[in-house]
Order: sequence, then structure tokens, then C-alpha cells
Amino acid sequence: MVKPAIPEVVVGPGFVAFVRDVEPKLRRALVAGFGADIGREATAEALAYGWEHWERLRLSENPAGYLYRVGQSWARRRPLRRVLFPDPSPANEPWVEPGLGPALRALSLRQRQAVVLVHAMGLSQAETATMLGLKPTSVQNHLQRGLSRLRIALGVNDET
Amino acid sequence: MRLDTRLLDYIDEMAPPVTTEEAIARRQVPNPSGRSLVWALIAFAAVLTAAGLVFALGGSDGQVVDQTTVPTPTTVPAPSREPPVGSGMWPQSNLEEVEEAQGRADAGDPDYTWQVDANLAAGGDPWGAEIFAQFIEDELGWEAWEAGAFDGWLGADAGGSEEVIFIRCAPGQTNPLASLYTDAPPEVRGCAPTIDDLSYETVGISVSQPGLQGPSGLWVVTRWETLQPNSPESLSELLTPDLLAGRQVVQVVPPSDTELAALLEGFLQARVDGAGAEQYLLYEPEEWIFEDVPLLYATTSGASFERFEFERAQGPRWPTGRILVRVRLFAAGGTVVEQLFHVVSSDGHFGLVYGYFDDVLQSTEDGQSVNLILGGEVTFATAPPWRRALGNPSDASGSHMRFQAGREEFVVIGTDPLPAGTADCETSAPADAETLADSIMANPDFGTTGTLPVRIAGFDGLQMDLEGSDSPFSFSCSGWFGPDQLTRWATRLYLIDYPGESAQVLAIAVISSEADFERVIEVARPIVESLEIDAP
Repeated sequence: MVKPAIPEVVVGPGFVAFVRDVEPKLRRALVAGFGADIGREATAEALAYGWEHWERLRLSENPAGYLYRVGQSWARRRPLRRVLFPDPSPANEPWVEPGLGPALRALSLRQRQAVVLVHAMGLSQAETATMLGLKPTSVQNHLQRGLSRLRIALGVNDET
Repeated sequence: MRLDTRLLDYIDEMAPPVTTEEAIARRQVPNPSGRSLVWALIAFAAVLTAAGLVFALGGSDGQVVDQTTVPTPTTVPAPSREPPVGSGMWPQSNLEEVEEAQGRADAGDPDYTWQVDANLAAGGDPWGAEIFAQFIEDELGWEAWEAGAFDGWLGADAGGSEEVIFIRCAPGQTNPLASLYTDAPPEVRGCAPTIDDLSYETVGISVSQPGLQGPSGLWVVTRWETLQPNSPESLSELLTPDLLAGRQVVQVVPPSDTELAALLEGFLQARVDGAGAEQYLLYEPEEWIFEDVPLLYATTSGASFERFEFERAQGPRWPTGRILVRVRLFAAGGTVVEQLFHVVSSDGHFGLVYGYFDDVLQSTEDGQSVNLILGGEVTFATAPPWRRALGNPSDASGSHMRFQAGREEFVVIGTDPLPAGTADCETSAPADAETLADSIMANPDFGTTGTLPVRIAGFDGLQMDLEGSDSPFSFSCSGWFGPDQLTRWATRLYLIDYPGESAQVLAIAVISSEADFERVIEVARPIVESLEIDAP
């Protein structure tokens, strides 16, 4: 049975649009930090929390950042899993870089988050800092070290 | 393929998007009929939509939720039951009941007035609120508990501002580690854990005012969760207990006085001996906030240490066991070096951590803050209100240091800066101060005053003021040095040709908002005037 799409009247005015806008950033940031499985679950949990508290959340200055911290808190409660970043299947997804899983595993949590949010998501360092609750200078340091290690691991030495 | 595209492809393949429906379904509450609050709401909303009615959900009239189709939310009271999460309302089970109870509370019925808490509504400390006490006693069945008497277990990381953490205490017993936690609050020292000698049953409880909000509104429990154990992953977490929020409280066995003395005597004697002190230090290379210890074996003038003393400054902090110690090393000639360290337990042994401070002087020499660049060739003194800015390079031999006196007041001192737009590891720095000054003046992004002659640390140099919204230079591989929160700023720049072989240019930048520039220049003057260069 196909469940119907949840109408706006149920989830609150603006919540569907909010999820559409925020979900990619939130999921990619949490996946970068906590791995594919826990990161995705944490995203769902954070959005559920957002739905529960939507009336207050939508008035906050940085709802995405707040939900990130909700997701982060949830993720930290989960037992650590051995494989944070599984190797992609080359048969099914040939366009995905096969070395990315091991390369990401080699970065620290904050390095992964900084690299993904700034270089993959296109957020500014200030936006990334706001979302992660870090100082911009901290984001910058993690970003530089993470990129450097990632490029070495992937064998690229340019700005690609 | 670009690195950014590869990253997005990888993440999206491994973790597909989460839909609104999927997220909300996580809040479904199981019930005997197998239906959920969410889908009941959906069905109800669909009926309303079909009838052409427009409703706003969440009003205080309670008319949207059809109680005949909404299951009664359940609360799981026993901590040992699985799953250890309860949702739904307590003690009322739905909005209609809350509104009825509100009416009775408004009429002064003591069976309901206990749910009113003006302090909680005003954002005051939540731990003493009756709604928590009643829930813990009546639903969880705990006889004794504590909350709020320890650091770090309540905060933004706890999953929401309403979630409050409580630990269960074994009735009639005292904490077996009470004699080691002499600084801990008496409530904690008297609270014995219930799982084993170290681990406490820990619960996070969320409350809200679903009906009337404000000082007269009723509070209800909306969610609780038994928190699970999860060991700290890093030293950072041990040193920042807020990062541990949301986990089961497990107290760490702190070092005894004898163990602490043995650790510190070993560390400090090695510094007097001139070798072997590093083995006592804990350090996480990936964490920028940890620093190498300056003046490890000698003073800035190179005098070796002759004796030492130490004292416990604070702690152990409960429950992480972290102790703050102050050490003093006395060198020939009477110079005294004073430093602060944390003593923490990591991987089963105790060690010292240096550098995890934001706003305290970590090292002083004869009372002055010690700042070293190029391994001590460049030294200068700082004093409050200036403090080292977060994100300083972790190596005392590094090329630059940052200080700040407020949100918009920075001093950066470093060597061989790179011109704007060339901040990478491959670019060579300008060979002298004049070349760097020329490149800045030639950049149309900056308004400059031109250069004036100046003497810094006994050497001739250049002074220039500039304004702009971008960085005029950066230090090698370190990027932007300034206050990110400013969109436009003013900078006083001092540049001198470095007199030694370790660098080519020494730069000092005093940065502030344009409106505050002259005042900040004066506040920063003692730092500039204290600069000394002892280049071989």
C-alpha cells in the first residue's frame, strides 16, 4: 500500500518546504560525521524532532544548525559501528569514486564534516561554522587538514 | 570528476534522502489497533481537505485532533524494559485532558496545580520542577536521584533544550568514589550508582506545555529515554563534558593524591633533567586545540630548570575525574615558569594535557604570558584583555599566533605572510617587507594609507593602515586570519624584514571594526612594544 504524501495542514505550515531545503545539508553533514547508517538515521530523527517542535523551531535563528545538533546528539548515543563508510559497489554505481570510503574513514569527524559541507555542499565557512556550532577558524583548520589528507588518499594534487 | 561531485555521489548513494513522511513516521506511537497518531492525523486531514475546510493545526482549542481516532500515547515506566524510550504525554494523555486539567488548576485544585511551574516557563533551572520529580517517582519508580549537581550533562547537545538529565541513586548508600571526589557537590558524593560502582541509570526527560503556555500553563512529560553507555571517543570529549551529554553517566576513577603526585613529580623531574617529559603528555594530533608545551626544558632565555613545585588547582571534576593542576618551575637566575595542565584518565592511564584552554593564561614567565614564534626566536608578552584566540597553531615553532580581546579585536603576529589570493602551500612569500606592502597597495580590494617608517623590536620597518572586506594576506597554509563576523574591518599593519635566517618578513596585524579602530590600536600597543627578536 502506498502511503499518501503528508499534507501541509498536518505537518505544519512550511515544514515540507523546510525539509526539502534542509534535508540534504543535514543528512550529508551527519553522514559525514557519523557514517552512512547512523548519519541517515540521525537525520530522520532530527527531522522528526523538528516536526514535533516546528512551531518553535521555525522561529529560531538557525533551525538547520539546531537540528544538526539534535541529530548529532542522537548519533552519539548510538553504539559505534565498525564500518562507518562502506565501499561503494562499482557494479551498481560505477560513477562513484571507489577510494572515497576508505579516504573518508581516514579523516577525523570534524575534518569530514568540514570538507563535505564546504566543498561538496557549497556552504561558506561561516555557514558551516554556524551549522556545526564551531568557530569559523576551527572550520578552516579542519577543512584544510581534511582536504589535504583526502587529496593525498585519492591521489589528486590539484583543485579538483 | 571533481572532488566535490565525488563526495556528493558517494554520500547520496550510501545514505539516500530522508523524506518528510519517513521522518514523521519515527514518532508513530504503537497501539493495539496498529494505527498511529500520524496516520490518524493524515486520514483526518484528508477528510477535512475533501470537505474543503482549512484548519490550522496546533491551536489551543483542541478541535483538530479527533480523540476517537487518536490512540492513547503510552509511556513505558520501567527503566529495564525495552525499548528504553517513552513518548506521549504524562500525566495527561492528550490535549483534551490537558485542557480539562488546566481548568481545574486555574480553579486551584491541588491535584493539578503542581503541574504549573512559573520558573520553568521563565526558562529557569529545571531540575527542581515538580513535573520531573513526580514522573521519576510515580512512573520510573526511583526512590532517589540527582540532577544538575554536575557539569556537562545538560545543554544544547542533549537533544533539545527541554531534555533534562537525571541519574538514579541507590537509596541509603554513598558514592564509593566519594573520598576521591573531594571537590564534587555533596549531592553527588552521596549518590551511589545503581548499575555498578561507576555507572548510573541515566534518563533524559522532556517536558512541554501543550495547551496554555506561560507561567500559568500546565507542564507535561512528552518524552523520556534511558540513556545508553558510550565511552568518550577522544580527549576532547573528556575535556568538554557537554560533548558527553546524552549518554549514560559513568564516573571515572580519578587519581589518588599519591598517584597524582607520582605523575607530576615524574613529569617535572624530567623537565629539570632535560629529557623524557613528553611521555607524560596526552595529545591528539588531529585536534587543533591541543598544543605542544612551550618552555618544556628551559626558559625563554635558555636557562634550565633547577626545581619545581605543583598544586591541585581544581577538581577532580565529577564525573570525568579531570583535575586542573598548576606547576611552577624555577630556573637559575630566579626566573619562574608557571603553567596549567589537566590530568585526565585516557585508555586506562593518567596523563597531562596542555592547551585545552580558551581564556586563561597557560604559561607565564615571571608573571607575563609567554608567546613564542619560530621556536622562541620571536617572543612577546600579552596580558588581559588579550587572550589567545582559538585555532592557534599547535606548534610553538609555528609561524604565527592570534590573540583577541573581544569579538572584533584581533592581533595576529607571524612570519612570511602570503599576499591576498595566494594562500596555499605552494606559493612563495614576498622576499621583503616592501614587496609585501607594494602588493597590498596594488590590490584594488583594499584602501590603504601608504607606508610610514616605524621601528619594531629595535628594527626598521613599515607601518600602513588598510580597510577592506577581504584578507590582505594570510599565513602559509593557514588561510584567513581575521574576524569572520566582520564584513568590513580596519587593520594596522607593521612589517619588518626579519633579521634572522628563519624567515624573511615579520608581520603584525591589529584588526578591528572600522568604528573601533583607534581604541584597539591603543589597547594592542603593549603587545607590539613587548616584541623581542633573538634571531641567530
